[in-house]
Amino acid sequence: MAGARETHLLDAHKRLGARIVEFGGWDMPLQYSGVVAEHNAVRHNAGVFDVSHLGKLRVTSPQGSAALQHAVTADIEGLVPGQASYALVLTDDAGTVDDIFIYRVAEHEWLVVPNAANVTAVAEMIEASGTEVADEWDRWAILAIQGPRSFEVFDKVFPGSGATDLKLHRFTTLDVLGEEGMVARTGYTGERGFELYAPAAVAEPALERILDAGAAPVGLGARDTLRLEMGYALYGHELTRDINPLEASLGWAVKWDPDFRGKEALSAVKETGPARRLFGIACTGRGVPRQGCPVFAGEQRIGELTSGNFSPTLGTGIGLALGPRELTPEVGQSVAIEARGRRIEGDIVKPPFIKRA
Amino acid sequence: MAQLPDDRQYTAEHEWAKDDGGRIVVGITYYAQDQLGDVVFVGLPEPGSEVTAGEPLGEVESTKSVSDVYSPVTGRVAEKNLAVEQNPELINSDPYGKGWLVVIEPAEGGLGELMDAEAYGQLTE
Repeated sequence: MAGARETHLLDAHKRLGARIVEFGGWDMPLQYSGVVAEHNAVRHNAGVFDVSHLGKLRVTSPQGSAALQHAVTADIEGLVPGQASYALVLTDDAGTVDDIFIYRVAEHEWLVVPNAANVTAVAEMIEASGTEVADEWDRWAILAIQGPRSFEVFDKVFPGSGATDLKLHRFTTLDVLGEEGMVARTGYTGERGFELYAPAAVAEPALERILDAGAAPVGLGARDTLRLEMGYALYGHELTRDINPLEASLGWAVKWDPDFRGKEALSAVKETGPARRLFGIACTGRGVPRQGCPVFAGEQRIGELTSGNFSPTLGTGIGLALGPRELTPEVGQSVAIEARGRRIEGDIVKPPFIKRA
Repeated sequence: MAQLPDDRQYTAEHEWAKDDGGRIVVGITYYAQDQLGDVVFVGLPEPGSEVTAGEPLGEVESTKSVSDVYSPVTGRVAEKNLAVEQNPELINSDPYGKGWLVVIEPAEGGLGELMDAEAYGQLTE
């Protein structure tokens, strides 16, 4: 790709003192004040993230619904207009192309939200299933407003929008400073909150009002520590074309009634049991484990970290690891993660790593 | 970054070394902590350990990455900063003060010629 894409909020991020990095082909804010402070703002107060790098694929053709159903693992006909679902897009052999959110906008109108790096691959999969896809990458800014005080913040900025009455994974249209936008009760932090689809023209003033209402700006660094504390999968880590959803503990995101690409291969996996399993490790020793670090039970290598980071809530390292099913450790078992030639001791835990009130 | 103290010397690996009555206080620079981001763990040598100029003496780890801290001088560790081990964020909040890492009793020869504040400032511009 020639040059990174810019969100409609890049200038605002720079004014807020963000450190900008390229992520998924976009220039994005990594952090503003610091990962730990931003993380804590979301856990205890409210934070706002620019997640405009996420894909925005719209499917509206009459045959679109059936085609889309074939491309994803959710039961999309079971959604009502105004309802969204997490889903996976698989290859024929059940490798994971991406994890997405899918929004049923109307009877035959859908918004598919892939990870930034996988937009093209997801669009190709949907097209291969028999429908055209419109890429609205530049039309919207997406702002995630998350945290225990997110409802208060949202109500202050958009009074009477009805957003705070929405149930989890429901969405509605709303007026965003004179333009029609969309707000969903979704997010990827483990806190309550919203994702706001603001039309490009009003993205910056919308962000300013959300900040003025008390949300702290939060970058991708804290987005990663927040999702990891919850044990949520991140594409390129827990999910790749080489990892099927049952290995990644995402069987709950697969609905077996509809036919979907990869179903036959995944059914075979279900029959025999996945070859590998994902497990969580909470470090008891000092140090931050990182993706790729091997995990040992005694002298036996039992897996490799798919994600590792520092948990600001626990004050210790945490990690998710993938390893052969027959070697999967038990919850409570002690293991060691090898990082930079040293071993960090840890205990096997069942994610999430933190318990929510 | 106007806050480069001129009472100490600097290394190309972004440590500072300050002569305190013949003993050398060592820390990492504002630039180093800014590049690292939030420091969450610090690994320091025990008092009594021998350290060698240009060799790692410990490590600082942030949410983003981990990096070695290189000793600016050869000698023996006289003190380590227990407060910074307990509260690594001191390195972010006060890298030239409360965020110091170790005090080294230099071997014969003492602290060699390192960069002054002006030269180091140019390096990190």
